[in-house]
Amino acid sequence: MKTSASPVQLTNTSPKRKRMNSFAGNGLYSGFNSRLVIHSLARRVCIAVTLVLLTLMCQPLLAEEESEGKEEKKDKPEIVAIVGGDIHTVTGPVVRKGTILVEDGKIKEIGQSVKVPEEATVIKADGMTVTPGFVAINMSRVGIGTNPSGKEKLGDGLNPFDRNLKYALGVGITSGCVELSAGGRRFGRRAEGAPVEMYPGLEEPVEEFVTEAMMDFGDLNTSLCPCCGLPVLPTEPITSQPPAAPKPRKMAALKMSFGNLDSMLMGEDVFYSVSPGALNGALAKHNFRKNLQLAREAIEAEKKAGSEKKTTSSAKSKAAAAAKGAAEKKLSKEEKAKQAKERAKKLKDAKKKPKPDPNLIKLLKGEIAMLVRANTVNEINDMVDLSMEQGYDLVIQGGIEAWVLADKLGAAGVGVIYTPRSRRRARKGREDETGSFVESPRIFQEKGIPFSLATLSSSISMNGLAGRDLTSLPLEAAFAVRGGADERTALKAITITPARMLGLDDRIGSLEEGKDADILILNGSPLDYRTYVEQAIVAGKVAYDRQKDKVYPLHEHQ
Amino acid sequence: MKSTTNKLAALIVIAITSVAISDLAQAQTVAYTGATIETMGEDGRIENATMVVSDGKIREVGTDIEIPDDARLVSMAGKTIMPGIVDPYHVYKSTAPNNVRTVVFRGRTFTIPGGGPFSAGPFIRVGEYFDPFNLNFNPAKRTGITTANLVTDGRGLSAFANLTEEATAEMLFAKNGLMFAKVTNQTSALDVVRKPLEPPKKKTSKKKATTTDDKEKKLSPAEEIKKLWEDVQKGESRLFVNVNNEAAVAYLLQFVEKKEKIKLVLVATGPNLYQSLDQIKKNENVTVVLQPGIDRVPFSADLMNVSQLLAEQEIPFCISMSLSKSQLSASQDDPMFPVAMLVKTGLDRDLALKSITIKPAELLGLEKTHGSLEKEKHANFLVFDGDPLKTGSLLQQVFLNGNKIHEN
Repeated sequence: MKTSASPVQLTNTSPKRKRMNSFAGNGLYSGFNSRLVIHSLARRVCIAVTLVLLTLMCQPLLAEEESEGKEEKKDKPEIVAIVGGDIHTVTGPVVRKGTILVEDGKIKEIGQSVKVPEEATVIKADGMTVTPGFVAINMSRVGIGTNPSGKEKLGDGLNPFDRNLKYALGVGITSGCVELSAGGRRFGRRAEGAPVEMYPGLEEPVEEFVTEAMMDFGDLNTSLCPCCGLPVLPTEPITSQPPAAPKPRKMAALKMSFGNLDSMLMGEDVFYSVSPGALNGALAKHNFRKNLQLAREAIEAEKKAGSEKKTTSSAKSKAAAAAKGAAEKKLSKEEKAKQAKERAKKLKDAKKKPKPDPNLIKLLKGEIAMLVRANTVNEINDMVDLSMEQGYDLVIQGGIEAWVLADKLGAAGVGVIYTPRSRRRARKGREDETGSFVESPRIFQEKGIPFSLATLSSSISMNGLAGRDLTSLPLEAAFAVRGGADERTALKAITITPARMLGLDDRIGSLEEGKDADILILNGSPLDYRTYVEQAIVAGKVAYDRQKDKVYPLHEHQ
Repeated sequence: MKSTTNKLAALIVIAITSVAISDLAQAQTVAYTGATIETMGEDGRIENATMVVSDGKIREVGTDIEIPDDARLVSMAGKTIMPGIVDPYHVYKSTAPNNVRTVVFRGRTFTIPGGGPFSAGPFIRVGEYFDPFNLNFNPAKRTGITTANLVTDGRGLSAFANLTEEATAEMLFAKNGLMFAKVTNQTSALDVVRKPLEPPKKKTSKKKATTTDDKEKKLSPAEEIKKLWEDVQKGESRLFVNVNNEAAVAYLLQFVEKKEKIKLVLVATGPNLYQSLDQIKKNENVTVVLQPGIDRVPFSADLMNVSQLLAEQEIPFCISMSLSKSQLSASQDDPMFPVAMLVKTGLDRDLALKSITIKPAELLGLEKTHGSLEKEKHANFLVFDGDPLKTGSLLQQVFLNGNKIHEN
């Protein structure tokens, strides 16, 4: 219903944009849809309320009795019931005074007439607002001990007891996209890439030494300047070496499940994230296109192999094997040796052939989107054109001047990660088409551009940057409302939209049956600066409790 | 006047006896009489008791015992005798891998942080690596430690040692002790423990050989180490893991969760353990080794007694007096002070004393010879001039196998 009515679909010729449309889906025409829903709902709700009122009245009594008997049974699934709050499901309607039933970390049921089983742990949320946990699209230094490099795996470097998790949970962030290489030194960062002779005699190089500049420019025949250590770019005509794919920055989706290591890591390489330099200029673009071509060929080869497998029946393969056996008997020793040589040569060739970047394959398949920082009109235009030409999903980070190109972005289904409080001065004489614009959120919403919100600084900071760091994410959503977006869209911009961008909208971002139970209990509107998160439930467990954790003040506003 | 003469007399007596004991203890039977003895065994605390020692072994302990005719009597009136402290995890030397390495890349030399391909460090067999020269066990002896499970900062196989008066190669009485490793929340560090304990996929013995010290032995070292790990896997031998942060505790518990046979000894500080107490309790095969003392609740001004919390949760634990090196060298006058603090803030007195004597002995498999003052056990004991856990009580003498190794 959502995407078929959207004009975005009509203008979009690329078949690989299914995911983007899904996160563009709540753009232009979603307003009509929701109004229709409300009509039919109103009638239903009327009937439901009368029915539910009776059950609601005896529920508190039931609940108390139930919680006593819960300790005896341990093998049964863990059931939590959040009762009595106004539930903002984000993708659906608001359920007033509803109940959410959580079983083993997943949402089982939402509604006003949900029956709470005896063994459930009941969390009362009367008078509270219940929303899905917020998704921070741009985080760093949260939940990770040391940034993994080389052979160190991210899955082994997490810290479920990181204090920053509590600060994030305290403002409602229950999951997010963490950039792993953020804050690294500019010089001497290690990454995987072309083999470098580092440990002569060792079987395989353990780590490669690649500077950031090399990450950006790929494996050109660079050498390091003896004075400053930066790579010296070749000035001679480039030989037709197989171009290396640009090094994507590592991004991972983490759940802020404090104290629970098992559910922390949601996904690695959730974006194909490159620095703008990697795609800047004719040379870099040429390299990128060639690498995309490689990836495309790999996908096609995979498809072919898949279809061939289907056609060869077992009878056929048996016959072939028999024929092969007979043929081999006939072969003389010399011929056998020849064959072996050929095989070895083939293997060698296969080794020589540049391998496609698995991340690029994912990008072309539409499993992940490209994330690239672009702020000026030129940068954005450039990136959008490239994505249209090559047919992959694009998310623009920054997008300060994206409002100028809103029509184009909307038509292309490009997502924007926007910070309503970021500012850029307009150029003299071109005030109408440069610089930041306070009404950008309104324009994005009108043109159907899916946007999610990011804070000015991506880490949690307790010293001197108050109001800029990650803990001001809901505040940023409030600024989006000030910029003309409606509250629904603003809430989406910190929940379901970033979840869609991450490709995790089947797990997080809204309150729906079957999704992860990442639920906030707030003592007011999620966009009000006076609102505190009372409890944050992550993967079905209370990971943050305002009264116990004492991260934020305990006084109540009048 | 009178008091000074008394003092002089006492001093002379002490001086004479101490000389006599050090010279003759081994040969002669000695009966220590009139002492309060914390046996740490079935008899518990015995007032006005006598302990007969000969050939470095305890022959009798009790109130109503026959003292052999040839025994020399030493009066311990007003003093308290308790077993020598058994240290379950004594880091005696650092072999931690160098965290900075030099790399030559296209003609330039770089120094970069982070370990190289051998960042896990070599496998150290303390029994063979042990070098008695330039080792100083004096702070440990002054604290009352008589027996220690010697480990290093890295990983390997520990050795059990008697802390004799002089450090010699003979002080190791069991060269093959238990497996130990230090772990943090990084792949390379975690793999030190995980890889050898995972069910084998393919033959990895070749790779292991490169990571171990190249020692010449008839049985290949790699195979021997493999066997040691197999013992751990079967639960026949304990594995000591020193975890250096709270996340590593979580990772290790997650790893052991599915491996029910492995007997894990978690060596960690109180705050690092605090957040994972529930998880530790779930696994019955986990024992905790921690340092004595009061800790801060993480990110709070509140104080806590983690030993007491462990006792409440019925998690088996031992206390290592040497885990905090600063504490070890600072506690010269009243070495039992941190333990006394634990008792003062709620830990059961008997449990506190057991957790530094008989419990670590059990952990190391030495409970038949060490850890308590009972018949036929080694005569390792400490003499205090009062209740060991009372402020102001001095540790006066430390005996190892009947020999005095330290006197205050």
